[in-house]
Amino acid sequence: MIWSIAKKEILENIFSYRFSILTVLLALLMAVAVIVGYGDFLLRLENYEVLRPMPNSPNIIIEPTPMSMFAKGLEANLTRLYEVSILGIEIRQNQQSVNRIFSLFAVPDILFIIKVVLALIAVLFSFDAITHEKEQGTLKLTLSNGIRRSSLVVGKFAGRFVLVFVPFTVLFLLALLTMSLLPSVAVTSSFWWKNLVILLASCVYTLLFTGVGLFVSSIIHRSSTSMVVSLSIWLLFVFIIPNFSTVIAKRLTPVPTSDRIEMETRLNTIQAIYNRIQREKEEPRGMEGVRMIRQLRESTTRITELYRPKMNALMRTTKSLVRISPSGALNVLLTDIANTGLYEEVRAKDAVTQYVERNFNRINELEPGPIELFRYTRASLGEVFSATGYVDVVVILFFATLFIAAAYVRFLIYDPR
Amino acid sequence: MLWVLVRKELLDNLLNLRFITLCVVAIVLIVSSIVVLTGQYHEELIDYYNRVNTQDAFIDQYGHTNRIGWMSRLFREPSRYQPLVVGIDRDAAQENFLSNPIPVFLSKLDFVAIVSVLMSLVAVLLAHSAITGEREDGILKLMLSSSLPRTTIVLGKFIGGVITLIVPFTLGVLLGLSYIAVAAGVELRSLDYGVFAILLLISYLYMTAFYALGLFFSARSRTSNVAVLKSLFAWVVLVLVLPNISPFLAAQIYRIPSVAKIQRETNKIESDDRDEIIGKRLQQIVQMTFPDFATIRSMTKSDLQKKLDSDPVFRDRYAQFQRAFEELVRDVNTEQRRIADAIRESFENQSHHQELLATVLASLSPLSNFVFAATDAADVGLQSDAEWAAQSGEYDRVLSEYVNQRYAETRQRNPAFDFNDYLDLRGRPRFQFQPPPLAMRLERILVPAGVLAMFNLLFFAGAFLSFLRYDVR
Repeated sequence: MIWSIAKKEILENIFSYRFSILTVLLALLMAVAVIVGYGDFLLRLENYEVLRPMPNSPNIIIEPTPMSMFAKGLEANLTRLYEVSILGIEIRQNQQSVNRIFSLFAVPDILFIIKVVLALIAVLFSFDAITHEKEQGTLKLTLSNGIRRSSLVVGKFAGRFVLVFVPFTVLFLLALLTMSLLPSVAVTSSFWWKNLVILLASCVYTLLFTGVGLFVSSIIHRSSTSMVVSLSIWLLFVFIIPNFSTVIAKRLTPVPTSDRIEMETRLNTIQAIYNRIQREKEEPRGMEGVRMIRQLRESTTRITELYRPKMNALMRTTKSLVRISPSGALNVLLTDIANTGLYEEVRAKDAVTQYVERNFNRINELEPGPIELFRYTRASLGEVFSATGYVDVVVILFFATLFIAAAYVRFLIYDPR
Repeated sequence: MLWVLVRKELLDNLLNLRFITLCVVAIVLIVSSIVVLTGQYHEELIDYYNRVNTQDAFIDQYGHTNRIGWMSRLFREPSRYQPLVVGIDRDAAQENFLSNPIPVFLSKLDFVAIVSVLMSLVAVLLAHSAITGEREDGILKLMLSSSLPRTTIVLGKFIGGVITLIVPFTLGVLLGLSYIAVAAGVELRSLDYGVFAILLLISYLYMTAFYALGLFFSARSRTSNVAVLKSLFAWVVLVLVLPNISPFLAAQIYRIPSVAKIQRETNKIESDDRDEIIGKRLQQIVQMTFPDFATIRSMTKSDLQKKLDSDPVFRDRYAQFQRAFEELVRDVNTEQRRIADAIRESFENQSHHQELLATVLASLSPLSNFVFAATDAADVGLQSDAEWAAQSGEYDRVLSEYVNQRYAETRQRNPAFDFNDYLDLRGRPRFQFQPPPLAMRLERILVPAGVLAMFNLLFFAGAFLSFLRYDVR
């Protein structure tokens, strides 16, 4: 019985205006995301080839990952050039910081499509699942035919879900295939696994927002009201909670501004240089140069030890607050899977710090010996999951179960008149 | 007659539960974001003063001629309008190894974000059934049969809808602003009222554009269901797609060289190459003009002082040598800076062109024009950097003039004094940024606000013409 209801839902909608317009929208956006994402990735790759350090060079640069086409996250920052000198680690400007429009608007990657547009489409497909039939009067007729309410609601849910998710899967696989065939994208087995997990996560996410629409549809009796309420929940999850939580997290765990860090580092440096020159005037052939480097190193280490824990605390708070919304959790999860997220940022910076610690003396010629070449491999899928990913999965699953169960229970006591 | 229709629209909307819900949500959001961001503004302001004082104290204690530009970096005061318009987040530039990555990860929810995403959606949702809904209910037929001109109906719908949208929104904003003025204790000046008025006006323009867009699709559809889909499609494209892809498209169309490579090149020219050239030329000077000075480098400062005091001929020759050396350093510095500046300038030109292209592409969406206008009115947008650069550059010039003069005076008294020695700079001029006046801000937003007005005209004309031949049956 469930399947015949699901079939009816699909057949009823597949030739509708709604299905065609929303699928066209999705296809359009996917195409844009692939083109834009690939072009962006190529620019980063080009930059990487130009700046790639030669052996025995203290420069550090992380290779761009093709997964950034799916979720760009912090990739533009991760793949910058880090230069090590007596002043510590200096970062060269990010290629995109010269065009300030980048920092005004969001990134149109596949994560954005899933998080915002796929959720919107799922809501738009399910908000009238029950109210529409009620307004038409067919709900009464269907129920008088001896169909169990549970089969009806499950059938409707399955039908609407398929209408959203099947076109998405087709488009996603097409995008994936296109990307894997493009030159300069190195396809490894982990590329496929990561994308499989992204597809699975979007499946649960679609279920969740179909559940939201169905739930609202089962508590409200008019389609037009149901639409507004579902869209409000969508807005709340997708925009309001994640973006508001960054502001609140910053209030809860204050961190120094980048201007402050810059000033403290700069003044320490000037003071060390000044002291060295003054002392050398009294005693020209001393060890003042070495002493200055040590002093600088000490002060940068002090600043790092003071501020990095604060930054990490802010990241933790933001993550927890963002996870109040399933869209926020999806954002964290997908960027982490794509190795462009907050987890990777901390991991890469740890690797850079450790590398500098091991090689600082050799880079600044305080001790002889070759400088080791910086190598970095991004986190594997298993590592991401055991470190932070499981929390996001639990959050998304929790919300999905919550809304689907609520819709189910609510429909059992729904008044079809 | 028009006013009767407007009143009917108003009452229809205001008594409608979904509209009331959305308005309450919008007002609560606007007020709470203002409250939270005001707290953050206060914190940043304290940090700003703290930084300025620390740096001033440092210059008082360690000031010397050689690194004066490096030690007196000017800080930008946190924008007074930050509770409303965060603008281009400077933390997002991630200039430091320790920078906070969150702003890159997720954007902030300020007044601009709420208006651009939430209020435009509210406007579209309010307008989509304005015409189709009445047709479905059969009211439209009745209205037209009572010989009401179509022009009056569509105008009444537009005006009524816009008023319903604007009044609760304005109330929410005024509530938030009064929090800033009264509870948060930010002292408001006349300029601030002007900026707030501009922000309100461009928000109106932006919301009415989306209301007209919804009306347009309503007039082009038979049923509300179809109208809402069309409107949402357009909304997604205009709000979520066009602005976001514009910088990426611009970066593809107009390529610029690697910024890290340029930085590396100019750094080399200004430090490594410079030191090398100075070293070589100094050797030449020493060999040709002052062969006996090769030994000075190994003397301690006190020995040198003793010799200077005891031997007036040496003293003169030493002063001459110092002058020659300083001239050399100045010349080489100027020359190397000229070369590096040329490279930087050509790069800046290129990146400016890319940015301009991105701006033009983004301007195809009302959202971008609204964001450009709001950020520029609050002086945290694309055009704010130029004014800052002009004023801070002028201050840097004044300061370096002052330092040079002080240096010359001190040198006169003590020839052994050099540019690495402590120089008392406590009497230096201090920097105070003069925020751009209202007239300048108005001039800046002329283009984006004009484009917003054009969108209004375009969408409304579309709605108007479509309604004139709308089949009301």
